[in-house]
Amino acid sequence: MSKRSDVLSGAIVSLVGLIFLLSTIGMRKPRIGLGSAGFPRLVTVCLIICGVLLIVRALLSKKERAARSRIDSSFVFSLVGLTVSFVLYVYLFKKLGFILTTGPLLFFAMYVFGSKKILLNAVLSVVTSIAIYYVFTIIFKIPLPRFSL
Amino acid sequence: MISYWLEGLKTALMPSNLLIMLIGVASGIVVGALPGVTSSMGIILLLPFTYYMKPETALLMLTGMYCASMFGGSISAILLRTPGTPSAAATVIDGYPLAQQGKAGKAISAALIGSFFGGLVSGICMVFLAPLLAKFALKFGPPEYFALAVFGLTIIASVSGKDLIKGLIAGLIGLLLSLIGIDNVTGSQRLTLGIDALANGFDFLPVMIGVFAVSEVLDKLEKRTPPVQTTTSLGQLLLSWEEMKSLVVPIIVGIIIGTLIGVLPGTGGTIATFLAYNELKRWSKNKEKFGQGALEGVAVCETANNAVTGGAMVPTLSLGVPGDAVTAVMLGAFVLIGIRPGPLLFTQQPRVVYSFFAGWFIIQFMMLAVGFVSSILAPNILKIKDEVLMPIVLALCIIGSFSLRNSVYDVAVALCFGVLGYLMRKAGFPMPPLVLGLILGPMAEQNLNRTLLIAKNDWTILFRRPISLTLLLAAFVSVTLSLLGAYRSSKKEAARS
Repeated sequence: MSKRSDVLSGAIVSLVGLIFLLSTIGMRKPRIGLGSAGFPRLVTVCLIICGVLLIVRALLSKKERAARSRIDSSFVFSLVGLTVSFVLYVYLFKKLGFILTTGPLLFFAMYVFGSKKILLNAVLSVVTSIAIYYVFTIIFKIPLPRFSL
Repeated sequence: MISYWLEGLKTALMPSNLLIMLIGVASGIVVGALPGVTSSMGIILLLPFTYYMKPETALLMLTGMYCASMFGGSISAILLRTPGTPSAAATVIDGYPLAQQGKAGKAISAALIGSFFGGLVSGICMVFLAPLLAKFALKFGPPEYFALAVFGLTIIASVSGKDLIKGLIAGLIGLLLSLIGIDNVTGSQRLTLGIDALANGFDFLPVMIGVFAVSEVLDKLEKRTPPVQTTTSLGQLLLSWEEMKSLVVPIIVGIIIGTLIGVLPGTGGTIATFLAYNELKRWSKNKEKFGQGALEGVAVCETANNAVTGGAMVPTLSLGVPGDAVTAVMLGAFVLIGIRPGPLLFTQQPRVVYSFFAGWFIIQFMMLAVGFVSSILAPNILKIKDEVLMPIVLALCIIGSFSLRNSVYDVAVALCFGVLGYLMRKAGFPMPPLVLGLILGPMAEQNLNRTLLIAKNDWTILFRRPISLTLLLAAFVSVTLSLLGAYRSSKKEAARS
């Protein structure tokens, strides 16, 4: 990991710890027991300390512990695309049902994973989503959402 | 007593019951291997099929599912770096590196042998030592459970890999995540940051599906590695005599820790596997092998999680108190099929009890046979290209998280934690400590709270009770040894460079 990555990670961890620590301010401590805030405060304070330690260690370290790797732009596009498709998927999952949402998600995922055979991807994603749907709903009796007008 | 055993054996050996057990074992392995479909879910899914069966037949089928799913979890842990069940989370540490080295078959064989002996010996303990172990477990109160959780958390140090600070951070993030939602004691919301959706907190399963499976899918997306060479020949599946000998100690360690942890109500296979792994690693002469692909690491984890099954059945059967989350589901299933676990079960339904005992041992042998066939077939999964396999894993992750509570929220949680897990992985944070924090957080907090309520804020109670004192001392020793180990290895590394 690079120095910069550790400093950034440490800063994010400390910030997250601080935000959650501040959110416990309104909680009162009971006379007996830990109360709601006791354990979260202990955890968040430890988190902040560890975050700061990570930053200090990274700043004090003399050498880069590993060569900084180049970020592959096509991967960034794929990751962003997949994350956006996750959001869309979750939003449409109950509205359109399992098959109508999982099929396109699988198709897109196969494409970004490098399988450029469009027809094969389409067949595989449709067959897979239908097969999974029927295996789970009929054999395992797990009710998955389905599209209805 | 002997007549009960003969009667039980006769029932278990009936051809129809043998077939039912075989179906239970085979489906258990499949359910265990499917990422996101847990043993609990498998038992629940199997329940509708048992409604029209006799109680003892239904019990045998469910037991087959329960025991075999524990082994099944190791298959996907080894081949896909995705634990099929939470109990197989620790198996990933050494199982996946072995698969990467082309030794997936050997890893599955080690897991199978460990699972067989774990189930068999813990079954003997269940039959002969049940009253004694159950009596011991009854002595555990909140201080002892808190001390046990602390001891469990010290394992973070040894599963953190090379970077202790990052391991601690991951563990603390896990603890923090376990605290988000409604506080069990006061019933008030906490750490939700005003976001209503967080009021329910995070369920363990979607988080785990996210950080282990979805993040793996994203990781594969970046690396685009060619398919790993699969172990296909039987020669590579069979273990050599030296390898078999090296499994003896891990199996013994796994049996002892797994059975003991199993018998303690409220614990479970995940804690047992991490504890057993940690202990074996700590006392091993070849510590550096662990995490790089040690057969011993796989064997100890799989022995421990299958040993938990026998241990966990002790309080479930004799007291009606579930040993872990899965036996809690089993307890519910017992009631549904007309069996009332508790002290009276042994006198009121001896036919059921002894056919269950006899069936238990038959199931272990069935698991060995079916598991062996699956170990021949399973490595072929690695031949499937990532571009096809990963989207399918993604779909299974989605179903696994959705079917938990029929909730899209859980799907969103799994996908969000997938992205978070991926980013943490990229920044060099290990994942096992996060899972440990998530499991042990509620146990530590709730029992510390109860302890302080009982003792009226007198913390010395933790040191005045012999069992909790012993566990806390063990935790101290565990941390000290881990820190010493880390110091020594950093000195070695400095000397080398």
